[in-house]
Amino acid sequence: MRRRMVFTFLAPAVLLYLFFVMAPAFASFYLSLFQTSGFGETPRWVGFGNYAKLLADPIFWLSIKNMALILVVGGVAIFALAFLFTILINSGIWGKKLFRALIFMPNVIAVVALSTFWSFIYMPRYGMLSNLFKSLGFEQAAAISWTTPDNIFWSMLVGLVWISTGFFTILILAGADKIPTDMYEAARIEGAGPIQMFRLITVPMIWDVIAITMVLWVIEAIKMMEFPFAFGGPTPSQDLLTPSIYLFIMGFGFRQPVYELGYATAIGVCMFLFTILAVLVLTWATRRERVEF
Amino acid sequence: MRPSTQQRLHRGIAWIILAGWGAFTIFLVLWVIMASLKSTRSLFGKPFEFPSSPAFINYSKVWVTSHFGEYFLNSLLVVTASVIGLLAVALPAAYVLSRGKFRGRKALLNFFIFGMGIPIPLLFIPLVVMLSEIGLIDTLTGLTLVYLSVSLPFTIYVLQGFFSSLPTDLESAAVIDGCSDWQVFWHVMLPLATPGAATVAILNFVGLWNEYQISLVLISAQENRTLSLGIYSLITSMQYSGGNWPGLFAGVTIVMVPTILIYIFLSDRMISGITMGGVK
Amino acid sequence: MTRSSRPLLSSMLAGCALAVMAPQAGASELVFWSMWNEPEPQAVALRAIMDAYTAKNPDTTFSVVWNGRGNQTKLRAALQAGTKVDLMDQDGDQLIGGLQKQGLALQLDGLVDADFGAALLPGVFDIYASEGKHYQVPYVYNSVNFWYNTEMMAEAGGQEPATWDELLALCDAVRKIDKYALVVDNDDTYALYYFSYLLERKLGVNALVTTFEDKTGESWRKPEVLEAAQMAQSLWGRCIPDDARGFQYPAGQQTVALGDSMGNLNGSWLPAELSSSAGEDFPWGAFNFPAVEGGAGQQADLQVALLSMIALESSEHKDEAVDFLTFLVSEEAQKIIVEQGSVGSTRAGVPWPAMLDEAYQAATNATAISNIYGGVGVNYPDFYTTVLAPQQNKMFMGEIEAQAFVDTMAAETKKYWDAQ
Repeated sequence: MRRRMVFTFLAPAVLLYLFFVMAPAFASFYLSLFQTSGFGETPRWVGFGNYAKLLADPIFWLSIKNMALILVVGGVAIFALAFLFTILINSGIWGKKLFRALIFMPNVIAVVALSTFWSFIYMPRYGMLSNLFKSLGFEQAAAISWTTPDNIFWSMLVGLVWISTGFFTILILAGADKIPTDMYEAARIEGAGPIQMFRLITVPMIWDVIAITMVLWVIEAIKMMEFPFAFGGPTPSQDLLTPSIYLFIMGFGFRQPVYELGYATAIGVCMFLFTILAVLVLTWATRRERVEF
Repeated sequence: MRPSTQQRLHRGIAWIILAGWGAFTIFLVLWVIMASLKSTRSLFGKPFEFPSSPAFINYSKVWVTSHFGEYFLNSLLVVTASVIGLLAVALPAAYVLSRGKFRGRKALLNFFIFGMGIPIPLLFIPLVVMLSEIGLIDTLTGLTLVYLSVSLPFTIYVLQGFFSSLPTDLESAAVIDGCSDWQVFWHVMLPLATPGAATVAILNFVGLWNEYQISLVLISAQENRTLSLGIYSLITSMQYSGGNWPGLFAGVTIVMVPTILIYIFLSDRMISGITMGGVK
Repeated sequence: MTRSSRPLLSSMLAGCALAVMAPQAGASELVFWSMWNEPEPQAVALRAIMDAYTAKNPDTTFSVVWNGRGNQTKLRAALQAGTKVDLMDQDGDQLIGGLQKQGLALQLDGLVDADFGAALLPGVFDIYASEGKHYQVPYVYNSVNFWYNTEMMAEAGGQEPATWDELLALCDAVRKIDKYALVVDNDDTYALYYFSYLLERKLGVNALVTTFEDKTGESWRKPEVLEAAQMAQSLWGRCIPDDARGFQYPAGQQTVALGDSMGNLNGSWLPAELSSSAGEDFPWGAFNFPAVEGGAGQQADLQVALLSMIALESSEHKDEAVDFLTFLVSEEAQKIIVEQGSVGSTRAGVPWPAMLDEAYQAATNATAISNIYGGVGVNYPDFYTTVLAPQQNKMFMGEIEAQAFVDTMAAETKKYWDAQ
């Protein structure tokens, strides 16, 4: 392939990417070395001061903790469900394409609709869960308040898992689709059950796909903002804080803007570095010989 | 081989579980539509009851008074232009990144992929300053360019995976036949790339249709607003001016309907394409 | 030069300029970035006011960008990029920590009459001044009162309480008809109403800010602070139902419209926010936060959140902008605000919409006004957002003990000031 073609084919993409994504990103990274409100007064140089402040900031660590919980607990739940659905859908039932489509559907709907829907499910007194329990006679369960400060994070996580499962299920499912059915037939003849088949055939064969899916989830979990933010109403509670939300509150604010732009971008840089680190670690941890078939 | 009774039982249970999950999704969509036809009072008092007199006026109010009709056109314009531009730019780039043999190919590819990890809020203020300087701030053109650029990482990632999964024989045959590189791309690879391109187009369409953070920062004038900004302004109007929640849901339904329609008709294509990036 | 002769002189000068120079338009277009969205009633009112102004001053026209609530944040980026803006509006307390602090707002002293503030309701012109300098012209008045259903109160046989104990007695009366007197939404900022008001009733106006500004942090350990916290907590179960802990905005306040709760401590925007659920003829009533026995604050002290308009320091049409600001709080314009915007006016003697009447009386008779939520967020938004509001919410919701709250605040305050 001649160089000229390589050049012309790549040029527009590279230029747009550099101009509209990389340049602003670097400008921001540079901004994180200053303290400024962004209103145009001369930014004050603080070097790594913002980062030092971040490391000592309990709220930042709270947001990291929430992010880690979403990443790990949410991730385990999502992948468990994805594997479950893969087994179920691949067990030869009718309507496979329909279910695949239905499971993916929440990804297509606006976040504000999803978060409002979930808050109506959880609402005390008038919400669905409460009324459902009441009509079944479980008075005590009906009285549980799912969105009090103690519970709100976990309630949000349930909603988040439900919304996100579809995307990752589809990826794993598609990978599983490529496995030739004779393998399963052979195993079935030997007397293997569905779970055994999954564990011993499917997982090793689609390990590549699983690894890449996990990377995609890690990237999304670190950047997670929209659903927890929308779930929290006008002033998201600190229990729902993720690093992205913290960045937004510090730099752009909502009801009560804080206008600490340098600090906010430092949070963003940390998130980016964390992403790179997590992706590298994950890629290394899941490397394996590709199983050819 | 006929399924055994045990297999039938397994399948039955599987079906019930899946149907339950799927039903919940359908319930969500129906609820949003139902909520748009209620009154605010009954929405909060009896959120899961069907409205006795469906308030279709919510839709006309939101379409005209809240300008959703104009926003719909803006969204359609911006997102369609972005997706077309995205394909025009990403397809060649992905092709070269997957098939090309040059130094730094892998590094360049990773360079694009790591872009997926950049938190969008970081780009806000520099983008505003930059676009203002080139006179594209608060324009649909500027918004389209930005949408295109931030969608590049994911799109290139998927497309290059797709290209890598295609067999090389056709290319080699074409080259032997005397085609130039350009002709190989145009007459051989592009037609083969149609499923991948279609998928990536649909995925980006849906994603950009619902996008609001970037447009919030780059668009101010009301006549330039997209649909998701319309939703956003309905929500923020609730502070001080009161909640027209059913109106909000009417707006949400208007935003939701095109994506669901595209989804129903093209879901197969959409799903098969995502996997192209991941499954080689 | 008096104000009345100034327009005469300027028109003479303009006339000369017109005569001397080639055809130059004396017209100016004022660019106004607004916090309202175009369909909102307040936006409608502002448009009517601008039209009225242009009718009187044909040389001045307006170009408006209806930005919505993030107006100041948007403006920040736009100013950095060099966009020309003449006027903007936002919540007054947000402006102080934003454009005003950065010197981007036009100072009005010397450009408006010395008695400008006298025509407005008590305290309005001064509340957002920094070190005696005025930048803002508040044009919408929001006060924080108890908003309640008068029919339900009558049914319970209660009346508007003047003291804290009377409030608790009212709650008991309402319990007897199997309803709860008050409701809250689980939101950091709304939860601050009770504690900040109690503190102000005990220690006087702006008590929360004064307590915070003690750099040793020891002011938090005053007995009144602990008492205020405990009093706020004592509302649960008696006045506020326990399941309200789980209400996310706006579910809690909607229960007032639905007739399940009697009242809600909130801003005077509440009837407007609930209008579609409550209906046109909802029997709204309002009363001030009650006085506390032995406290330094009075029942007539009021927490307010005013919405202000400012002119930008970088404006190239300062005179016209200031002139418009003056017009904005004239009787004619304020009447439009009330009639078309259905909100409270900031000018003395202009009655508010009927359903806000009791709040209007409160605003007219206010002995002192203080910033909403206690006012800490105005000058110390970082501490407010990251420490005060969340900790207070935890205390109010009963997750931490009042004593633990006081200790945490004392420690965090000292830590904050030490780091400055």
